[in-house]
Amino acid sequence: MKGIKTENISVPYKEEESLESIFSKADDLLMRDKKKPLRMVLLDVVNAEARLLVSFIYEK
Amino acid sequence: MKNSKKKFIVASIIPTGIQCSIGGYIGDATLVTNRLASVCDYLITNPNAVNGGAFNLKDKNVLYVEGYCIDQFFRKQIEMSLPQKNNIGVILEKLVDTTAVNYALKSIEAFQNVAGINIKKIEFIKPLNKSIRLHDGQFCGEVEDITPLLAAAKKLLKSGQVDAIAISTHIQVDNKYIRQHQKGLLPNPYGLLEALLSHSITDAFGIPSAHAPILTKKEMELFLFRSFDSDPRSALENISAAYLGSVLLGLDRAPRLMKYGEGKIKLEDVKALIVPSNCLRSIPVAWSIKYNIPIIQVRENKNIFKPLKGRTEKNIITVDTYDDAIREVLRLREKAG
Repeated sequence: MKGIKTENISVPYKEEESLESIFSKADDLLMRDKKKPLRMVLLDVVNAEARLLVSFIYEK
Repeated sequence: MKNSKKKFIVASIIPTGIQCSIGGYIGDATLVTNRLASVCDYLITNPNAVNGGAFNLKDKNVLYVEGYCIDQFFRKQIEMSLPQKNNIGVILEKLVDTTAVNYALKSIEAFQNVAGINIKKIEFIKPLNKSIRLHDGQFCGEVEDITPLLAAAKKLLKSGQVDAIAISTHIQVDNKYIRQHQKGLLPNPYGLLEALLSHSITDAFGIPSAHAPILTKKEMELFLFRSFDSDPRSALENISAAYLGSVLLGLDRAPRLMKYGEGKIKLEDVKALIVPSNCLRSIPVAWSIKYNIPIIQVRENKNIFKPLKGRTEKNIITVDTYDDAIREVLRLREKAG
């Protein structure tokens, strides 16, 4: 059974890091949890963390 | 110009769920979208920028592309065909409220017979278990099991008669959220969940897809006859409940998705990406920075996003209005020769 949802996640952030690199980190994090990333948007950056809203497919 | 090898293509993305002052409702970004399209060969946009209830008044050179496809296109994972007539399959939830289902079926008949949309097959599914929640001013969503949706899409595609899929399901939204949205106080509560459903189909099968909500009889009354005090930008929601119409009109000539290297609509021909104010946070923006595609952010299109602290993106042009954005596009076009 497959579901799909949106959630907030955070990834470590380095100063002036490219957006592409932030998204790649989020991709890796989701895939490690066996979630297939679809869309994502960066919500904000606070100190050493980037917070994203992501949509992904998960298996139950 | 459209027959020449090099095309001048612009993308304009107006996200649904962030309360944009232009495009935060349904179809209210159509005017700016068509004006932008008038100065390029093709303008790529997301469905809800031009979906307007039963109406879709986008111009012919506006390419109606699902959000996840736009991301994949900017990541150079796919390319697209030129727009061509599509055969459409429809997935409909079989609700207990037969009026709602019959209304959706009547919409299909109407658009087949009046607009000449090729609707080839309809598949019914049991209502999916969906939920939405408000979190930090944005709606989030979940569909617990998309297996029946994917099975219905597979069946439609197996028939060999379908190039694109329209999905129409009921999304239960608290009336107070709807009323607040109609008065301009909350983002569109439907957009994100709609996107989840179309992403599922597009990801699994690589075809154009889009979603339209089915309204129950009770909701139709709420939307149509008890909303005369709503924000004028939401007026299209209040004059027709046949929301499937805008999706069918959009998918009718939506570009098909092609393997990278095999399409006629290529990222190399995209000469600008236009986004609302502070919308410098998405995958198309990230890859536009990477590939040095100018990004034009339009201040007049305000939304819930504030500037990102501590970040300075390159190749961003900030303009006050969409008229200024058009002037900027014309300047880029002149430069491109």
